[in-house]
Amino acid sequence: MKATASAFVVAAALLSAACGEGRAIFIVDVLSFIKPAGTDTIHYNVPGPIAISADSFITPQKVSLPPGLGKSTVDNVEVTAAAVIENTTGTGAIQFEVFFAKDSANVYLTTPYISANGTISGTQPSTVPLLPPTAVSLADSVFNTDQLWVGVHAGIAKNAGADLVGRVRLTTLSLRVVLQDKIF
Amino acid sequence: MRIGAVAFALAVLVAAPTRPASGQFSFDARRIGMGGVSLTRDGNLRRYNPAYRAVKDRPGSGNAKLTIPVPLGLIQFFHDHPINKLRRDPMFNPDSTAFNPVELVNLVFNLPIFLEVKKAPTPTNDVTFTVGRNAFMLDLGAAQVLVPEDEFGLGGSSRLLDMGFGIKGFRFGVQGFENHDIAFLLGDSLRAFLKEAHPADTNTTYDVLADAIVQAGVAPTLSFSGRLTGVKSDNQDGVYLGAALRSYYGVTYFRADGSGGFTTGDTLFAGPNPVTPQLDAFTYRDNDATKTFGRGFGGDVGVVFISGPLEVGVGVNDIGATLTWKDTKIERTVFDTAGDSLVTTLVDPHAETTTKLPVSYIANAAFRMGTGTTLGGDVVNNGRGVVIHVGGEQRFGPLALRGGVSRDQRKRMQFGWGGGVRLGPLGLDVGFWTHSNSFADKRGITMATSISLY
Repeated sequence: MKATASAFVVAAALLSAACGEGRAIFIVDVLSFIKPAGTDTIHYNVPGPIAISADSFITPQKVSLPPGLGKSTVDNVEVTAAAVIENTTGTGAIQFEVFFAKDSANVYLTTPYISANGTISGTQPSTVPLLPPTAVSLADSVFNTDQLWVGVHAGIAKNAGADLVGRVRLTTLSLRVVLQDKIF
Repeated sequence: MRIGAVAFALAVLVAAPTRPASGQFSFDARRIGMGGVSLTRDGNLRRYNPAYRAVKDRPGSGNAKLTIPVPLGLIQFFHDHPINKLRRDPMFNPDSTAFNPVELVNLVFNLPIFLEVKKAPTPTNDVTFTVGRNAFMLDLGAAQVLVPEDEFGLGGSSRLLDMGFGIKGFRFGVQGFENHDIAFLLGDSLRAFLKEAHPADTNTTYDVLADAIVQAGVAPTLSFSGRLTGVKSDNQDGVYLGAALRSYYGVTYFRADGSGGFTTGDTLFAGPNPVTPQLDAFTYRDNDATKTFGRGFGGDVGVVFISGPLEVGVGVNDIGATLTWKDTKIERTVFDTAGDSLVTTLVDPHAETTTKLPVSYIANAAFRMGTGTTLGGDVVNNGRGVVIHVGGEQRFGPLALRGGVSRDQRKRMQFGWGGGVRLGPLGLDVGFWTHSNSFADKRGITMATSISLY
């Protein structure tokens, strides 16, 4: 696949080299890669009357990027993400975290790149937005790769009372990777 | 790769004098200062117009016996890029962070024989790739202007040698001929993708069409050139005719045409084969030049009319020059997706094929006023596009001022200006000309300097 995928961007890369000292900017819609598998949504169902915590992780998802990124030097990276809690019953709090890694085994062993917290309270059902700040990571070598793995974790803290049932749904997850000139 | 780049660039530098007219079209600063036009009956006219064989040089016309270019550009180049440090030079070292492929391409397009007083700016805009599982878009920004809309490539014909003897206007000789042409054309989908930032589509082929040919051989030639009118007058006024009949013996020939690129799958960035390479090319080559030649007949015609200060000429070369190659091997090469490899099959081991030499021509005019002013122009097509030059020279005793314009093969207007001084048998000339040879959308300016011996 790598060899054939190379062909797809060869022409583009040759011309992108024409940008001289200009930068190459990759805008990657990560959500589009993980949505078909249904992993853009984490369902939760924490039963029982007592306060309790639970964690839910999606299976790490692969994001195929144009070959050549692996030979480039990353200038800076911006991660933009947004999610909503669509809660059915119960109250509590949910921590939302996004991870990136070069291989699937290490996705959840790293520090999350972005995180946000949402509190579920009051009359249910309700929708709670999760809007983490845009994260900027200078020259992060995780992103100079043509195969990126992404993971999403939901940390659920249930209050005493009704079962906490609902889902966390990603609405935006994108990367803006700025490379120095040498793509290939 | 680094060594290859250095070797390639140096090879091109060495081969500089053989470059076609589309590049630095002359090593004569006088001609460059007039936008490329020649006001003398130089080799270019005699190359394309056989009638000029019968026209003698105009007395005091300014034909130099020898013109030597002063390669100020090479001096500057090797000052900036010491030859003993070329391997570590960022210009030739892809591993260097300062390596810029555009500068290397510009160097090839603009060999530094003469001084580049204004370099065409290298585009420095950002390029944006938008990538999704089923989306891919490339925005080249201002660099989109660099994407060719029409066919692009290089080519031309040349006479490699011309040996012979003549008597009373007739001449028999043997000429070597060579013709090469490489042309590329972006497919519609690829052109829209690159030039218009059109999103990539699934199940779509993005390809480049290519056609290349190289052929060479020798051609025994019988020619005639003579003066039809005003034979007994003491001036050069009159009509001159020239014609040549040529029998071509093609010694070698290779041609390839086809397309190459890739075809997208059902999804752009997912699945085992998101894209499939695509190549389908036919190649043709003569089997054995020692057994059969590529045979054909063709000819040249030309006419020159001179009346006082006015001189007009037209010459056409290689009319009807179609070569028949009786023993050609035809092969087809395709990319086999199953085997992930190139597969070549024999289409015909001994086919008869034909090639054509492109018709090239020149039309020229010059008008010499009695006030030291000479104006001239020419239209030249060496088989790959028309180039137009119009220029003039004004002499003030030993001094000369020159200017001119031209339309190059890319149909862009270029400008030339310059001057010179002649002291007896020695002349020193300076010429400036704009050019669009760089990988950029703006013109550069070259300053040419040459010394002429009269």
